[in-house]
Amino acid sequence: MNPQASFPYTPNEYECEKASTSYLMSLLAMIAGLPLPIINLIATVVFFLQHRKASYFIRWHCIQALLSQFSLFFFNSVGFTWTLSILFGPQEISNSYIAYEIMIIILNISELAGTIFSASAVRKGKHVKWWFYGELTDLICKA
Amino acid sequence: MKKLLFQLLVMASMIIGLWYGLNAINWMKLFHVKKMTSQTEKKLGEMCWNTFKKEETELDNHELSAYLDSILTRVCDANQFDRSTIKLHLVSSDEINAFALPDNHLVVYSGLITSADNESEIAGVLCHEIAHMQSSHVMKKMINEVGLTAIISITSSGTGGEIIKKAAKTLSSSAYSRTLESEADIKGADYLMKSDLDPVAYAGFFTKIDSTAKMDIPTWISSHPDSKERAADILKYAKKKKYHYVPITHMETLEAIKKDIRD
Repeated sequence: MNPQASFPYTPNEYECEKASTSYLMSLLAMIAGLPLPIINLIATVVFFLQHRKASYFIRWHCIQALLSQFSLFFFNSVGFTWTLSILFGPQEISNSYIAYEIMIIILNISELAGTIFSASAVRKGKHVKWWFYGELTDLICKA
Repeated sequence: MKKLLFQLLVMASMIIGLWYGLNAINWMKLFHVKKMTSQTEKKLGEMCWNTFKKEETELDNHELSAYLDSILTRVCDANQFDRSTIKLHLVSSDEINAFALPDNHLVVYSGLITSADNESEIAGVLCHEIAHMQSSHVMKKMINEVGLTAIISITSSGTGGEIIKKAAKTLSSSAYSRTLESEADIKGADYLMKSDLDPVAYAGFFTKIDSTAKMDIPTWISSHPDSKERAADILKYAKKKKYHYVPITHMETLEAIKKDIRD
């Protein structure tokens, strides 16, 4: 995560607030959607769609939040499906299952910490670029 | 683009590394998963059977107990199961039924014995229920019906009689999901064949008592639907396998026990 990354222009107060909200949105949805991983992804998608015509700075951070949520959604969905198949299907609780659940807890906590940090830094007008997701966002989001 | 691919590669490697690292730790041992599961199951099994016992009449018949024990011993020995873990209970009732409760409590109704024509039919039903036990289907069904939170709360507090009553009733009178039933059918047939018992008689029992079910007599079949289709699946599976039938007891033994129960 790079909080010193440069951006083509200096965002105004409104842009900083909206861009910061995109992270907060994913954070709130992450808490609400813990049992059902699809909820946080839907909330972030809805927020992005509402701001898809907003300024470059807002759009850029909405996309970064959305992309990071999407990968987490994949990992959480696998964990969720695995849990369901243990509770109601033919699968049994195993070492691999516990290891996977611990892994997604670590990933979710990392995401949570990154999201809180990004929301706070972006609110102050700093451009935060996440490892990999920042580069991917640069490729997708054009000025 | 190169930077993006490099970062993706590093991130993927880190996640895979984390997964391998975590997988190398024996979490099952660390969290005492097996011990916790077996303690919960044991308590739940006792509670279910005690609740059930109050509603039904237990049958005290040494000949029948010994007869069923000889079948169970053959099946357990041949399939490397610990016979001592299966708690056999006999219930006096015309209902043609047998079912498994948590912690390997196996409940057999006298109606099942009187309606059977040979030991393979009885062994087939027992093997089917053992398959549910061995595959942890009983606990899965409990979780499905009662809910995980309720199970933890009941076993830790020792209360929740009504919920246990409802759960015991469900376990005794309704089917598992189609997938779990099919799994138990095939595993049951496997256990039979390994024990030198006849899977064809087991399949035949499904279709035979299906007609009894149509006469509104509560049977094992009413809690195990799609009997004809399932009998066909068992026969299809058995056809592919090699087995030979070695009787456990004489036919006269079963007839004498049936007469004793009826009297």
